[in-house]
Amino acid sequence: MISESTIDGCKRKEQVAYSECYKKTAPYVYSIISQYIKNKDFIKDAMQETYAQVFLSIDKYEKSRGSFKSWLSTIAVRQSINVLRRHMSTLDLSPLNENQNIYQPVSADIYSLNADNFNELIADMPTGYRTSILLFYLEGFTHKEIASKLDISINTSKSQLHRGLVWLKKNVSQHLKEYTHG
Amino acid sequence: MDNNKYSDKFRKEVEIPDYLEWDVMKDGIYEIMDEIPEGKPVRNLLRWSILILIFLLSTCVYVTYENESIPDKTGQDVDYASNNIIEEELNLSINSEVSITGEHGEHIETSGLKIKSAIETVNEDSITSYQGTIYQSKSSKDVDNSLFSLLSNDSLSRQANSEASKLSDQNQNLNKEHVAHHLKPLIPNITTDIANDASEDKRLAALDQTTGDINLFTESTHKKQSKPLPTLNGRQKDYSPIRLLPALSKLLPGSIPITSSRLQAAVPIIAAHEEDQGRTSLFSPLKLEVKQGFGLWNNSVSISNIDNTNLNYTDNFALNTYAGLSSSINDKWSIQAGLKYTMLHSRTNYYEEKDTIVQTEYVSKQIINKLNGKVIEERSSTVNNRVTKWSKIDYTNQLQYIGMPVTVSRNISVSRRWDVLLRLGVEYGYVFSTKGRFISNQSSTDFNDQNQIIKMDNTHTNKHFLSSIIAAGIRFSLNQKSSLLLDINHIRSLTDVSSHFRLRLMPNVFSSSFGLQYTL
Repeated sequence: MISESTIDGCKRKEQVAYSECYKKTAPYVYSIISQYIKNKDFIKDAMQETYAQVFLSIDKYEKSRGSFKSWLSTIAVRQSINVLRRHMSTLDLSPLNENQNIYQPVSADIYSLNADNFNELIADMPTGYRTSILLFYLEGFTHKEIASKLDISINTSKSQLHRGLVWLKKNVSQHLKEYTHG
Repeated sequence: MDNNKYSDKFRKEVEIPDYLEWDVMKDGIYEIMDEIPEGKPVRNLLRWSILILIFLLSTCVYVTYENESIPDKTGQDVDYASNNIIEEELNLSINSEVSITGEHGEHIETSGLKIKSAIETVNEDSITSYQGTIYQSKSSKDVDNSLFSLLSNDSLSRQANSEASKLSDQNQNLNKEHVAHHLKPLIPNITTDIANDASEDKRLAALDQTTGDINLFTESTHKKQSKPLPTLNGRQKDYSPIRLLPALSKLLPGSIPITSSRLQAAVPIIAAHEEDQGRTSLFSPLKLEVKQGFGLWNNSVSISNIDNTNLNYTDNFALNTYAGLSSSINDKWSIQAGLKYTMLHSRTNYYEEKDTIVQTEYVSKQIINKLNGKVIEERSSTVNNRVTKWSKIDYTNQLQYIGMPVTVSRNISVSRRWDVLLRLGVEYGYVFSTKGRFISNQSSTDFNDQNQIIKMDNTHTNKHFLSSIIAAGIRFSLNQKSSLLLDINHIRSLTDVSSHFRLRLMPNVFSSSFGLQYTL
């Protein structure tokens, strides 16, 4: 993704290295953040906070513990959630009813989505659902971790994920039709 | 669930929109970086600083404790040494006799063994007497004579016993006196003295003179000098204790000149020697040091783009005031710890380029009398001219901190009054005030002077930092308690004082300090 020399330059706090690091990694970071946040201003906030955090804590990055890309994505997700929590005061995060089956599988249609129409699809999804689905399926967090990050209960996390999946099932076919025809 | 599969499938890099370009974003990123404190490194530094301080303080406490415990140990050593000196002295005689045996045949060997046996008996008794003598000597000055008066004339062992008791008594007193005034144990010197100076044993000479027959102990002297043993009428002497008895019977109390014993003779020499050597004392190992220093400083981190700017520091100077304690580990090494206030001062100035609007007045309208050509009325207007103005910007920078230096010092004695001191150590610093504008040492794409100036205050400062200390100096002893100190220090920061991401500030201080050392 970026060269060792660029990382070393960032560790030495060289602005040229900062610039190079940003230019090479911003598309990837943007793809992460834009999945969580749809508002342009909030995306900008999240991008700035992500890179500020990356540059300040790059001394802690160790190649042996993982790729720079995954380290970057971890920070991007965390900052996205921070921005969401700060700005989205009214998330629909009500807990799930106990009698609902929360492990209802996603429709097979979802596998026919590609990155473009998936992103278009989740862009219309309520923020709470979208966040839970992204954290659970794309980032691989457990409900306990999601609950901790979003400062909600585990049941709320489960309900959000379930509702998100229901929403996806309901809309994916329709979306695919529109995408195919249009 | 394979989240990587979803992640790879549904997340692909897209081109960033214009509003997220680096040029647009960088100011915001830097602004956030300024606001976010770098907490963890500070915590790590604090943790390490505390650990190092604990280690150094423990060393100081240990050294101090060791020094305080030495008098007791010295006292014990003196007691043991007192015993040893008796044994050593007697063994010296025994060995002499044994060696004589080798040189002079079986007869002497037999008598020598007998004497050895007798002396071994004396040895045991003398220790007992020595123990008793200590208590008696505390209550009576006449114990020497009374002990002598108790001697019977019919026993060599008892005679030798009392003599050994006296020796040990004197030895003990001398050691007590010595320990009370000096650092070093007396005994090694005395034993060496005894071994090398047996000819001065007038006590033994008295034995020889009194008997006129035998020379029991002084033969050790003769042996050392490789002279043949004295003989009686050309025959070998009979050293049998039976032959000694009449001679010993002639000894009277006080006839042995104890006052001129080797121990007493050695005292003035030792005292003079100690006076010459010892300006340090284990009983007062702490010395108070007060120093005032003045010097120069710079930032040890180079400024990469200094050639492209007009920036530089001026009036760099450092002031420090130190007060601390010094504890002697031994004659050559000592350890110092204390508190030091340091102020690093500098000025940053540069010429700021500003586009300024200057209003220039001009005649915009004239009413002229055409008949005579005179100007009847003149109307003026102003025009705004844009000019570049250079103004000098001058900032005063100050970094103030309290340091806790701990150094180990090697003392090299040059003469009676002059010492050379070499010091090495570390200093923990707590920064309590930072102000001014410091020059960024990070490369930048634009070389505008104004952008290279970093505003520093307490929020952008790492409160805790470490420095190394290398110092060399001289000490001049005014008297036994006071000395003057003059040294040159190099203090180099090991950690970054600045927490600002565009500035690395690691002060490099060269200073000279002058002060006073007073023995507590």
